[in-house]
Amino acid sequence: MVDVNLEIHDDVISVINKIKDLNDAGVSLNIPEGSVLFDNILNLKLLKKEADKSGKTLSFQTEDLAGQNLLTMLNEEEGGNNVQDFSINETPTETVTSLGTETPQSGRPRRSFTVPKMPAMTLPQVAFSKKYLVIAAVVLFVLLGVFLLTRAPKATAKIVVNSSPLTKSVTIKAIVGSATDPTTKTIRATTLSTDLSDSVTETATGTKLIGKTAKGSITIYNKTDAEREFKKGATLSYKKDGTTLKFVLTETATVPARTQDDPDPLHPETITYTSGQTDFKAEGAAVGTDYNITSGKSLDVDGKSASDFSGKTATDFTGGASQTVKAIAEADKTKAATELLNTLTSKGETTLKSKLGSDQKLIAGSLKVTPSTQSFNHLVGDQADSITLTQTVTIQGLTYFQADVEGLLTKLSDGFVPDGYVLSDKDKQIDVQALGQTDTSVLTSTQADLQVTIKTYIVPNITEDTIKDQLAGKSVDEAKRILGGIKNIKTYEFSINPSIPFLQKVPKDKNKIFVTIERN
Amino acid sequence: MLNLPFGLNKSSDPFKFLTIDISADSAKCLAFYNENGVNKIIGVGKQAMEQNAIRSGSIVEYDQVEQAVEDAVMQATEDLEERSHQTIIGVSGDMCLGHMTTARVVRGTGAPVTQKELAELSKKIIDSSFAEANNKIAQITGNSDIELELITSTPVYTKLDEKLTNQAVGVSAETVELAIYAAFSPTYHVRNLQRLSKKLGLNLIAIGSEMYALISVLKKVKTKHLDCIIMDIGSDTTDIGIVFGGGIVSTRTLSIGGKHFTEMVSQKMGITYKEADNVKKSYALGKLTKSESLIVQSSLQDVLDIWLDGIELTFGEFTGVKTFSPNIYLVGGSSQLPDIMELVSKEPWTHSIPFKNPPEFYKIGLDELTSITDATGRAATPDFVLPASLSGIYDELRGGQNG
Repeated sequence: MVDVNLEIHDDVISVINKIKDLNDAGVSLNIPEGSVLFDNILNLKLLKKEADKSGKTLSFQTEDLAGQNLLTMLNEEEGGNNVQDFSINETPTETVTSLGTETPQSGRPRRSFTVPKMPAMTLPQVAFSKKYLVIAAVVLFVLLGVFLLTRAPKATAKIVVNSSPLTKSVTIKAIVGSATDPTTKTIRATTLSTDLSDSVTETATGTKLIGKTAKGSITIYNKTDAEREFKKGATLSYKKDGTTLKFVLTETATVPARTQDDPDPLHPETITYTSGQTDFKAEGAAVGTDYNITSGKSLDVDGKSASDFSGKTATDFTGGASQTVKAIAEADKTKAATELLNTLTSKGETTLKSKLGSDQKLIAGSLKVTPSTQSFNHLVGDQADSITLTQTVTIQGLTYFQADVEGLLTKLSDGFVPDGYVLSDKDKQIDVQALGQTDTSVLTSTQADLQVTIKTYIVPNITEDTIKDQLAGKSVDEAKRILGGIKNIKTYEFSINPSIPFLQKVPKDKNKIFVTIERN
Repeated sequence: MLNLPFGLNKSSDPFKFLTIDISADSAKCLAFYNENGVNKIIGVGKQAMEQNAIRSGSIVEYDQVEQAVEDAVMQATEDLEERSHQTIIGVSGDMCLGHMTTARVVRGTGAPVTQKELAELSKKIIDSSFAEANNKIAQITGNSDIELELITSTPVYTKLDEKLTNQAVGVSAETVELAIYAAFSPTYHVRNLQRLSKKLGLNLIAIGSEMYALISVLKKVKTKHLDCIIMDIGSDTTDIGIVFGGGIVSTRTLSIGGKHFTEMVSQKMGITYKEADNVKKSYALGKLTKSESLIVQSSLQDVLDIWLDGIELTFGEFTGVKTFSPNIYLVGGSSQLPDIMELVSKEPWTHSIPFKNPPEFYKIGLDELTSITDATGRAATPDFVLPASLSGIYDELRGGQNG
């Protein structure tokens, strides 16, 4: 047997469909007070019939008094027990009998009528003195008055209404200097700013080669007919095992032109020349022992043809030495700047948040950081173990007020909240996300496009006061009908206390009507 | 002569009047002009209402209903000059309990029947009818605290010594038999309708049973002693009325109507209620393609089966009726659904019900009600038959001179 909890507005069709959808052979329907099913006993009979057709056993549970009456009648009828208790046959005024079967002319009914008789009653005669009668009447009247004043009936209604989930998302703008306006979906925004200083030290990741250059002398040979001056700084190359070492002249000098030698008497037709030559002081172009080469090594004069000029170490090059040390790289400088910006931005966000009002929100991603001063303690390439950046920045952020967002949503809610409902405050979640700086959206320290998503519930637009107005002065039956008719109602409880015969009406004084609305 | 607890008030033009029908999905208003005994429709108004504004005929969302009625009245009267309109409001479903009560008195004397004697008998019949109505509503709702109010009472026939007569006073007879139809409505509903009329500036001359009104105009077309069954398939209920000898013997209401058909189309096709309503109407008018029609047809199948089971059960509620007339008239907005006629005509559901002969079903259209003409051409749909029939109450209020 499966329990099915019905709601007030579940009508006979929806309940039949629920029963059909169940796999269990037994179904117990829990019918709430004021259910539409109790508007007509035929609803219950039809439920039984359809359950029987589906091969299911159906039972009913309810707190509704009228419903309990109907179920009693239904059970009596089913049991074949005193069917006449509620059949129209019993009532003499409607003992309709079609005579059509016997007399076609009289398809009209023949009916009998009996005026109901009241049982005879007599009241016992009691002799009272008029004086005592009057006193008793006054006492009774006073007691009744006191009773009514102190224990005047109070009506209590507890209504439980269903809430429906609602999720809506809208894009709005937050603009500095703007007013909150539902037509443009804009809320006002303000800019907060703060100044911060900080420094960061980064370990040097560069390396630098330091040491001494090898020194010696180089002879340059001139094989041309003109003298040639070589200035200090001119370079010559020494190639060995695929590497080239450069040597730099450390003095300026001129190399004389070649000279023709005296003819050889044996071979007068042969002309020979002697190259002009000059020794220059020189050193290795870089530090290191590689430049310590011995004398007699051939060198190329950079920028000159070997057929015109050539060089040779005139002495051993000595004294060349080197070592690798840490130095500041460009990347170290960049890293320090980036890290300090992040640190300052993070600190700035924290600082700005500490300045926010209780209802004020900082829009993430809207921070703008403007450096005012910045200094590094080393240059790139400096031999150093670390580099330190010290910076002062101004940080600005865009803020909005949550109340403005909620106010705008309330005004926009006409578009997505069905008539007769309002947004519930229960479990309301409002998520605001900046859309960022893209082709279609803006995110700066003065303006932002925001995606606002509201997850909440909508509930029937009823208030305790409205219900009191509707109930005041009504009969119990009318009051229950009014309560049962409330849109999206799940269940209700209604009572009048104390229960005084002939005073079963809701008080007209609304202070004596107590209404609570629970929104599930 | 129809007796109503309101009365025909004086109006600027006594030949113009409004009828209003408030159903679960809409308020409908027709403006009439009584011309030479024929009630001519000169204005038509219909305003849709949200679901659940009406529950089983009872007003739940008063403001919505008032607005819908006001809009419907505005539409129907936009071309009329009068501001104060004589108005008849119809009630049906669970808001209207009507039945015929008959008293047969053996006088023991052959003296002429007096007016006073008939009046006393009428009063006793209505008192008894009232008691019966209270019993009936308790049986239907399980609630014996619902206060009822008489909204309609009218003699159906008078017999002297077993012979029908139109003039009983002054005629000698041993027995007098008098049948009176009386309709009752819950007091809170009557108050709501009165409040609504007052608010809208309507001159409410009657709150009447729609079933009774339909019979009154139908009798002019068929026969005065009509034997039939009326099946009114309304928005959220189906009313069944048993008519013998031109009088409504009893009515019962099944809480299933067009709204449920629409809801099922909405659920099965995954469309909104409003869209489903449009689809259903197009289907009823044969405007859908064959494949579309098949989808709607299959969507309706389950709910129509339940409806038919409910109809069978409802007939079982008329325990005092030994045989039913085989003439069944279908009326109401959903009667135009082709499946309804097919279902009731072919299904073997009637086998368990004691019909005098195999039943035959007929739809009632406005064109069959010869005492009513539609000068607007806008009231031809079945949902306007009952509001139009309320003009029959106007005729009876004016002394039956029109028919």
